[in-house]
Amino acid sequence: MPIVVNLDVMLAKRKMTLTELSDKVNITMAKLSVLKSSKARAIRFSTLEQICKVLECQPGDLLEYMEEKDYKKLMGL
Amino acid sequence: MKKYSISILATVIAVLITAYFFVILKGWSGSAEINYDYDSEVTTIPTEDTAFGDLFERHYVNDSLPYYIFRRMQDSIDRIKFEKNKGYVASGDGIFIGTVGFEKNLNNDKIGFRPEENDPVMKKMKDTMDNLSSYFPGTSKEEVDKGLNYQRELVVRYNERRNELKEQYKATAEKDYWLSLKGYKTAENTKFFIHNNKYYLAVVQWDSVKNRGDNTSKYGHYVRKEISILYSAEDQKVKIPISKEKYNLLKGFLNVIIFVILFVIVYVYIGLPIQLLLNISRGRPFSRQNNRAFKIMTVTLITLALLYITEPYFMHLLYKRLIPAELWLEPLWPRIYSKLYLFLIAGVIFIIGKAFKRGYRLQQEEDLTV
Repeated sequence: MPIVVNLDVMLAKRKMTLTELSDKVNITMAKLSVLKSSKARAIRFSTLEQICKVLECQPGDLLEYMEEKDYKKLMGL
Repeated sequence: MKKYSISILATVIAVLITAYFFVILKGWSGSAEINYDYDSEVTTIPTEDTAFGDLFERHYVNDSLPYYIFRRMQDSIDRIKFEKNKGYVASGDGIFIGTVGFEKNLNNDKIGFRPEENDPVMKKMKDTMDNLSSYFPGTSKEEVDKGLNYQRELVVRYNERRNELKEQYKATAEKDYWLSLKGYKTAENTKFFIHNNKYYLAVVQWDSVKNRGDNTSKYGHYVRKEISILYSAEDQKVKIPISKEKYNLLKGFLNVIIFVILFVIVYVYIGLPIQLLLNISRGRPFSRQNNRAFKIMTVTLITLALLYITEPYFMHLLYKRLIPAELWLEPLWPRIYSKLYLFLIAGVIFIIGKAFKRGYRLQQEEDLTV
């Protein structure tokens, strides 16, 4: 699925670690890792809302659509 | 309301299958009518079979006799017929899987072995029993009892000795080895017999067919046809002679196949369901392992059913050259019907497996949903 999650970029911008985010949004590290590595199949609106709230950003800042070939190149597929 | 509505697809399938069975049932009653018409046909099976040592002669037993006397006489005639073909039609030691098996029994020349005729010990025992009065001449009660006890003991020893010698003989005597194929039938008027250690089929050759109105009368005579295999009408099997080496090799191979099939059955229908139940009880009903288990169970069941159904036809193809046209295998459809339940069970397992597969996908989606 050529949707890339730029969670790591936003975390870097806000100088926050994944553990801190996990504590604040009350989502397990394992689930956030799945999201960060773009392996997630779906994301709940409630999760998106909480992450946007904590990172003070828009959903568009977290999610990005890519062309198939660019996506494959990025993911090393 | 929709909750209680009947599935259209299930209804269509049920209607089609019911219609199919209805047609079959109608067909059966139709064939019964044909049989009724067939009753008017008079078939005169030749009774003159002196060429075959009266083997097929239809002995007349007065059927107005009390039933148990009639049955006893009939049985003794059947026994005589059996004796004439003994050894060959009787089952030997062997191993079977489905309709295929390997058997061995004593060579025809060795069947009538009577140890009492050759063994000096048994001869002496018999002499003693015959002349017991000369050994115990006394007439007192004590002497008579002593003689009777001795006689009883001697009878037991005599039988033990005979059985022992027979077992020894069986173990060492020359044997015939067979590849046996079950499920073969033949026309009622076709008979198998042995003459001078050669195998024959007695087949009726019709000389004349006369039509009188609705009645048809047939007249004919038996002709013999030499074949290279043995046939047992009682067990509905043909026995193909093979060498001892081939017998040992194929029996070993069959043992391996039986072991493998047994292992597969135990693994698939005991091991996998236990594993499945454990996974469910551990809270992992929708796992890749469970999906695999359902798939294996379905495929194995269908494969085993197909193997069972096709096995005799496959073997028949292999030995078609040796098996005469007068011996035929039972038709395919009754064989399929007899194992229809296996396909139905496979269908049920397949449907449950599909549900679990869907569950597994939903589980995966859920795991990857943040």
